[in-house]
Amino acid sequence: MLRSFTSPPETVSAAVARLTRRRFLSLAAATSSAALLAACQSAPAAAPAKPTEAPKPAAAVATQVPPTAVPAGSPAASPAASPAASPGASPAASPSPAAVTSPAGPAPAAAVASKPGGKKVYKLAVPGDVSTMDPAIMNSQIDFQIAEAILNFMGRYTYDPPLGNAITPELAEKWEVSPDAKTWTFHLRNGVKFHKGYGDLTAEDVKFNWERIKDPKTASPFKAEFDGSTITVLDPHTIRIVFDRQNPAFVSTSLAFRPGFVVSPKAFQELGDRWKTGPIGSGPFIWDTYQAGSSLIMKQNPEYWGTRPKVDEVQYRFRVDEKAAMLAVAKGELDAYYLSDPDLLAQVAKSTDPNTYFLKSNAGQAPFTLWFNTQRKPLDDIRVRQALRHAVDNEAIARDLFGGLASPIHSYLPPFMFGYSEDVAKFPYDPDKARQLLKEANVPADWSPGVIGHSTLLISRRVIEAVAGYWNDVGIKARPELVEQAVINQKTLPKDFDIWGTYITRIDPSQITAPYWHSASPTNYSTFKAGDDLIDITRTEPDPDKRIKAYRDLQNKISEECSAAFIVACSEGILVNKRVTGLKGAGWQERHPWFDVDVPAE
Amino acid sequence: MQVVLGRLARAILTVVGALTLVFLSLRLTPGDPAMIMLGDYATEELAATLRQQLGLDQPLPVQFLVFLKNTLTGDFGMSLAKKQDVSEIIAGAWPYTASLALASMLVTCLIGIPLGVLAALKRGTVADFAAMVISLLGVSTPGFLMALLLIYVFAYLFGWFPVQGAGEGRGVVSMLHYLVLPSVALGFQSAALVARTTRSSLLAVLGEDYMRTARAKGLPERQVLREHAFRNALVPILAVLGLFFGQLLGGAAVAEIVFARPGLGKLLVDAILFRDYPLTQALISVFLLGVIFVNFVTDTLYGLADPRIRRA
Repeated sequence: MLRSFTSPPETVSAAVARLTRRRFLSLAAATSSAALLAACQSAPAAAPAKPTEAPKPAAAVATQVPPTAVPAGSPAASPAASPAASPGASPAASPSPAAVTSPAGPAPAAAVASKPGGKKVYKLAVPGDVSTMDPAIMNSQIDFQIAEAILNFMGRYTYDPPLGNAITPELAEKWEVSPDAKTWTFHLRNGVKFHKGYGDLTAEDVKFNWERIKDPKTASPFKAEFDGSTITVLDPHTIRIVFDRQNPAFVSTSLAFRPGFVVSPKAFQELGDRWKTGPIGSGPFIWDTYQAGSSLIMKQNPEYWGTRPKVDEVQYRFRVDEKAAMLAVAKGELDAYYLSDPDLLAQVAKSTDPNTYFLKSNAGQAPFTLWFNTQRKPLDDIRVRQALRHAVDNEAIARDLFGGLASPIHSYLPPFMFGYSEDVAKFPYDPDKARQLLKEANVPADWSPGVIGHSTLLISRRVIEAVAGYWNDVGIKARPELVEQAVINQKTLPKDFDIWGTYITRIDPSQITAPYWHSASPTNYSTFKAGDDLIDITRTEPDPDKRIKAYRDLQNKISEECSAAFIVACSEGILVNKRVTGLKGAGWQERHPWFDVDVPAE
Repeated sequence: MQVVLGRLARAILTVVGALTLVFLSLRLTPGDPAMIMLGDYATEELAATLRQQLGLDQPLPVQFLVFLKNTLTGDFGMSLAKKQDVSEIIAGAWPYTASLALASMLVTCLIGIPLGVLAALKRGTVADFAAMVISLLGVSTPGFLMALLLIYVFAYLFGWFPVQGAGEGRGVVSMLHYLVLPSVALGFQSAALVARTTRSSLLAVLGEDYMRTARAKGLPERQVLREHAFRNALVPILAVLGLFFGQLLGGAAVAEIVFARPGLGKLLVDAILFRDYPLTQALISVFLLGVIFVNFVTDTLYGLADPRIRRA
């Protein structure tokens, strides 16, 4: 069983942070959730499938099969020339099939009949709001999810479970890369039209988008990915980018991610500040009506070049209360809700409500990492860092705190990701050993490290409070300092912290490798220096096998050095009304099934 | 005229003072909007570029002068979090908050005043006790809990009302339908206190000598209550109602979040969390104007209810 998580003394900032509305809500959850769970568990005993059973994709669900797909780790292969790359297949560069598991959840049949001639409206809610629809500066999951409907990538990650690393060509019909992985040539699809009459896609449009990211005035977080490149339009449908370095993961890191979205330059310049309320892309849906902080309506693009979505309209509701949203799904007012509260996630996973089903990702999308500031004493002593890791029972946290909806981890990469390794230095739960190491390192009895985390991210709060409890058990008076996002970076960038933890979701390992572990990176929070050579290989080596080896060696080295503690990788979850079909999972990739989701017409 | 001008001057001073306080408190609160915008991609270099673009690298007095100039010209600028014109955001949301506040006030009056009158007239009886228990429940039940309970019973179990939304774009009748539960959730809480205020105010009046005189001169009881008791008891009730209306404008956030309605309260919560200076400043300005307007109306109503105040 999980040890008791005694709360250590809190700082003022932590105490203030705790008095948020969400905290207050969670305290009252004991009362209100009784009513809520009654709603979600009022099913006849025979009706539902077990939520923890692995799902069988509904036979009726038509899966979009892309014409070609390429494993993300195989840049040298042109997608058109990649025979092995079918979605769902396990490409050579992908993790082993054992490392990825199918998302859980039943395969519901649509119980509600479609109204002939009616409109299919898919209604979903998310906890936050849209921040921007400018892909050059986009950094939120919600923005990304909506942008995937409005815009097209150059290439799109496939979403067929199990999670894979294959990329389907989208705006780029095919591409070639030189053997030294410095020169990339993309052949654009013909007949792609931007929404609302903004013309056909050309290579000049792609160039505009890439040059914007390169421009320092844009303040794009993706600028480094395009630095040192020369972009040339070869003809209206061919564009070439030449890097001054080897860049084998350009597609998987950049062009199948946020910098890979292409917006209409004409519309972007014309709309100016109004871009947020009317972004123009070429995606399967058109941005229609937006109410700040409240709602968004997207309508199907009648001129879409590819497979049309099955629903006519998508209605988003933003900034909703989780418990009320769950009732709305059960009642059928909402079709799906993306849960963020781990408590509710665990409760909903056990729900037997006949009106809803639950989808979760098994692969553990968001690895929670605690960085140790090795520039501070006594964290500069590896024995102290080892003690901190031995003191924490990752398995108990995953099992008891997250109701089994998290996996214990020992690496900074999540299990589904290219290059993930199980074979790393591990620090099994051993409080006696932790005490012994602390004694050997002469750690002062009054050492009281602060542990910074996001006050508004429930997973962060939960993990940090639990870990602090474990550390208290071995005599370390850890102080959780849960603060708002507004304050986090001000403390972490200048390394004004002892320990800080969060989870980061990305799609390609390079996105969470160099930024957090290269000695030259400002966000290398634990000042880890021993991996630069390996990181350089992961960034420049064209051979995917060699890159995998470099990633594996790097994970081991980081773990050996104990620069950070890796706790759990949490699953994500969606509560879905039974009328919805086509949702395949709740993972980072599967949750954006714009082409497959279907609801009865009404 | 002099009174009105005096009030106007006070109101202007209040607004300028409050805006200065808001400006300073936002800037003095830890947290950097540029860092929030960059999220986990933040670096000092990117943040510096953004700060420069947003004018946040300017000295504080310069920022304040720009802010005052923009506010006076009605230009609240661009929201940092929503990348949208602040005036446009507020224009889209204020009708929802105003209608929610008005409907809640109506619920407050319809429940609170009759309950208070009943309790006062039937003092010491079961009706008095029941009315006060109901008001105690209302006062002590947190707004969000009341909202969730209403949703569970009337939207989920009975299916009489929608769980969430405001019926945007569905016509007036539909929007009123969506308004019922949120306004009851908000209004019931203040109704409880209004009931208690009404009861105590009415009880104080009922014990006055002029009440005995009115009855002694043979006026019917209904007329005694309406013209002598209730009218004299009205001033404290109006004061409480005025206070509540001001609170409702800002305090609607809970109902707006639980019922997933558009509204200014919800926007303000987000704006503060995001350190969205332009939106926060603009919203607080709107709330200030709302409260000042309500206070003005309440002051005027005092005069109508009690001629002595008008003459003073």
